[in-house]
Order: sequence, then structure tokens, then C-alpha cells
Amino acid sequence: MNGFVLTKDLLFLLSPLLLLQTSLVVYCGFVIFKEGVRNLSKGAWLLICLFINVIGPVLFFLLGRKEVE
Amino acid sequence: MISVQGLRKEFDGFPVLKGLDMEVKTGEIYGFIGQNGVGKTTTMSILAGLSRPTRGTCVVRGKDVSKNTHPGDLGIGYLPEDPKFYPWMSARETLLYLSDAQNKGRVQEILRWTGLADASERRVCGFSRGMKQRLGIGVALIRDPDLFILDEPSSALDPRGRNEVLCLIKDLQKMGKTILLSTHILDDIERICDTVGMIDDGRMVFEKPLAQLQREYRQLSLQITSIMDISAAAIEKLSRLTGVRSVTKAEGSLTLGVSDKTVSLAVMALLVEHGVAVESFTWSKTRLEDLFLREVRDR
Amino acid sequence: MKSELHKEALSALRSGRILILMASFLFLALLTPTMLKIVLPKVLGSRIAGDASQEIHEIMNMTQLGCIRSYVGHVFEIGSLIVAFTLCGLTASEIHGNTWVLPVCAGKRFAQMVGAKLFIFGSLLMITSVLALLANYGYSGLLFGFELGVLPILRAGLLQGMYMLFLLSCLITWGVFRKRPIAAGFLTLATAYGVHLITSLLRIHPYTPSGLLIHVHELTPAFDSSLLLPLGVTILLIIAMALITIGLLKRLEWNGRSAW
Repeated sequence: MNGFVLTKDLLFLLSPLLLLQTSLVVYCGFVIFKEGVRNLSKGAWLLICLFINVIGPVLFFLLGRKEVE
Repeated sequence: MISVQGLRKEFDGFPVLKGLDMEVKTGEIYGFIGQNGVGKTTTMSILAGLSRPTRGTCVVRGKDVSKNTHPGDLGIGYLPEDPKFYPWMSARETLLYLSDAQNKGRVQEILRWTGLADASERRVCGFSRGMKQRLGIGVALIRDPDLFILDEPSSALDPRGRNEVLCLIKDLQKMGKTILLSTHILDDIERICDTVGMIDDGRMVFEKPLAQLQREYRQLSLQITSIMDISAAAIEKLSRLTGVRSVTKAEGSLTLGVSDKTVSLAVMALLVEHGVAVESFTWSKTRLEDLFLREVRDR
Repeated sequence: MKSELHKEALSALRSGRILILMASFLFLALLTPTMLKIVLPKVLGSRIAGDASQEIHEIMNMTQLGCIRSYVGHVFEIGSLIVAFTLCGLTASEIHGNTWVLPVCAGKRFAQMVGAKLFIFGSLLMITSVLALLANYGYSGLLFGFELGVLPILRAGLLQGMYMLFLLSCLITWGVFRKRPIAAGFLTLATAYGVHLITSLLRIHPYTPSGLLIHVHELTPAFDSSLLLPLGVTILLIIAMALITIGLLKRLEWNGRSAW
């Protein structure tokens, strides 16, 4: 994996994805602390949302939200 | 209001109701009692049009339930055993949704009447069991039906919640509604019902006005305990005394069902005659609970 | 009907389903160009040293068109999965969780309840498909240069939305059949992939919903007549499934305790 340098150009190109991920994480964090969670602890869900790209927040919404059902 | 004849219901060939008959008159509170799993909920869901009878006729408000195509057409206020709401809706949204947002004034009125006005904007997922039960009664009220079928409205509530719900039901009757409710708390039956129907093993055991039931079964009984065994001859003679209806012998004690308290003199004399050393001599009244237990045991 | 639509819209919003669908479709739409433009060449380039890496770039023929086509393929494979498991409880959990008992007793009609679900979530899927495809179009154009107009994209997006509507009605029908959300999800996926497999084995693309995906793949701006057949078949299937669902619901018994 040499040559994988994060240049400014690359960052610019990746910005839509980063934006999507960041906004999701922020929203999930909001929901986690406001509504509470199920199945796993708050911390665990937050880590999942932070480090698993997009799939993490989606998983949280499917399995971790308290209100649904 | 409700007339049921020979109602049978089978689930996968297993009969739950085996020919049930019942009759609910207009304007009364009809209490449906019985142990768990004898078919109370099944009967009520059939009456509400949610489930179809295998055989027998059920006429509710002049309509044959088995010929009805949609449960909503029967004009019944139905409260299921465990009412399920959408957890993401507030109480007001629930009522508005279920009433097709027709009449906002009525929704507000129901909220106030069920004591949910303060909690009306809160999501239902945060509601306690008692609040959900009251919301369920509110939902049953939406279309202002003249018949209510309430499945265990007071169970699973604490004493205060139970009291609130019972008062609501009594209020409904005062408005001229007919109410069929099921419960296993016999105290509630004695507090509000006009007629009691007891179901066991898929059949109606008895169906009587509460007052008559109380007259028949709330007999005086006399409990006698003795330090020694009461001889069979003495029991034989006791049972033949005028005014003594029944004699039940248990370990070290004797229970006599009697017509009035004046019998005590004759009973006492007889006991002395047979040399029974009496330890205690107490009066008591049979409660509905005892009757229930006896009926269940006898079957 | 109005309160029914309002309820479904609220449920879509408050259960976070809108968010899940939007986020995952956008993710797919943005990830595909990124993978093709940035990650894949780097990975391959590091394996094959020197001049060869330049050739690989050319061999892979990375254009906007290729990128969009690759994304469309992902939507069928992964997007279907996401749709199936996000919306699997649409009817199944209403029946399994007894939440339909009170509305039914309050006189709600099954046709309206099912219709509102189809309408709200169908529109949601349509909008999501079109928006995600537009995002993919814009982003891939940015990376590889634009070579297509917007019109074919809109057409492809709508067709893809139509296919998603087919998945939705599968979910609704299977949900009433099986009454379990997860079962409805798996059965829908089995239906979708099964139809696709049979279609490609027997080469009957014009007659199945999978034929829509072929048209999506073409990315042409024209509405030719060959499109009418799969579109008509899909619409007929959706209507038929909705009618079956309503018929099943009418015959269903709602026994107070949860139906196992």
C-alpha cells in the first residue's frame, strides 16, 4: 500500500464521502444520546458509527434505535 | 345487544370454545370471568369481528358477526388485552390518526376525559402500562359507539390505575353504553358489574345478575374448629338440622353453610351433646372468589 | 386516506427509514467512482510497477459511463439488500406486533392501508433512486469528465425506482404471507435474485421486472417501445401483488395474542 498519500487533491475528491459520513455520525451521536439505544451500549454504538463507514450508522438505525418497535 | 348461541372456535382442530352461549343486555356492564386460557380473549375477539367462529351464531348489535366483512363496521369500541400503538406517535397523533383527523375537538375531549391531556404530546413509547390502557379506552371511544368490548381493562395495573379505569367504565355506563368486560380480578366484578358470566373449558358455567349471585352464594357460613376429631355421627346430625344447608369437612375444621345466625344455638347444643371440645366458632361470608374457586375445582 | 398517508410519512421519517435509504444509496453512489478512480488504480499500481500501471489505467477503460454502469449493478446487488432489510417490517411487523388491530377496529380499510404504504415508500424509493443516480452522475463526471446528458440519467433513475417499487410490493406481500419481518426480507431477496437468474437463463428480459435493469444499464435518452413491455409487466405485477395482499388481509384473523 505504498504511494497511498493523502494529498490535497485526493481530499477534495473524497470530500462528498467524508461529508456524508461526518453528517451521519453527528446525527447518530445526537440520536444515541437523546433517545437511548438497545442491543448494545451507547459507547459501542458510537464507536460503530464512527469507525464503520456509513454501514455503521445504517446498522445503528436498523438495530440500535430504541423507539422502533 | 350481544347474543351468542352455540359458539365453537377451533385453532388447527383444537377446540377452544365448545358451544358457548351468552346474552348481553343493553345498558349493562357484563363481567366475563374465568381462568387464563379458557377462551375469554377468543370469545371477545370473535365478538369484535377480528376472528371468525368455527360454528355457532354471534349477533352483535343486530349484525351477524360471521357475515360481517370488516371489524370496523360493527360499531364496537374494542380494547384488546394488550393494546399496541405506534411507539413513534404521540397520544394526540394516535387518536387523530385513528379518527381520520375528523374531529379535533372530540380528540381533545377524549384526552381530557381519559386524563391524558397533559401527556398528549408525548410519544407513546414512553407511556406506562396504565396510560396505554387509558389511551386504549380513549381509542375505543373515538367513534362514540354504544357497545364496548374491553378485554382485561383492569389487569396488569396497580391499584390506583385499576381504580381509575373502573371509574371510567362506570362513567361509560352512566352515558347509556353497554359494556362487556373480561377480568380475572373478581373484586372488580363485584364493584361494577351488573351481570356475571363465568366461562370454563370453552363453555358458559353460569350467567346471572350479580345481585342474584350474591344472594345465592353469599351465604353465611360457620366455621368450627375442634381440638379433637368431630365424630361422623355428629356431622350426620349437624347436616340434618333445619337451617343448615351444607357441611364441609376439612382437616380439623368443619364449615357449615347456614341460613341465618339463629342456627348457632342448635349447632352449639348438638356439639355439646356429642362432647366436642370446640376451639373456635366463627362466622364468615362466602366471597365471589370462593365461589369461583369452588366452581373451578368441581369441574 | 389522508390520515393514512400522513401516518406512513411520519413512520418513514421517525423510524429513520428515510435516512437509512438516502444515506446508503448516496454512499453507494459516491463510493463507486471513488473506488474506480482513486483506490483501485493505487492498489493495482502498487502491485504492478512502472509503465504497466499506466496501461492498466487504459485497459480498465474508466469513463463516466462505465462508472455509472458499475454503480447501477451495485444498486441491484447491494441496494436491493438494503431496501429489503430496511423495509422488511412494513407489513410483517404490523401484523406480528398487532399494531394493525386498533386501526382495523377503528374502521380503516385494508386497501387504503396497503395503498398508503405503497405510495409513500414507493415515492421514497423513486426519489432516492433518482437522487442517488444524479449524485453518482455528478461525482463521476467530476472525476472522469462528463460525457452524458442529464436526461438518460433521469430516465434510468425512474426505471430503477420502478424496479424498487416492485421489490417494495414483494416485501408487502411476503410480509402478509409470512408475518415475520426477516422472513419477508429473505423471501423478497430470493424473489428478486431468482427472477433475475431465471430471466438471464431463459433470456426473457422483455417480460420480467429484471428487464427494467437492462434498460437502466443502457443509459440511452430515448423512450423506445421495447421499454413498454417490461414496464407494463412490472406495473401489472405490482397491482396483482397489492390485490393479493389486500385479499389475504381481509381473510386474516386477528387473534388478540401475537400471531406465531
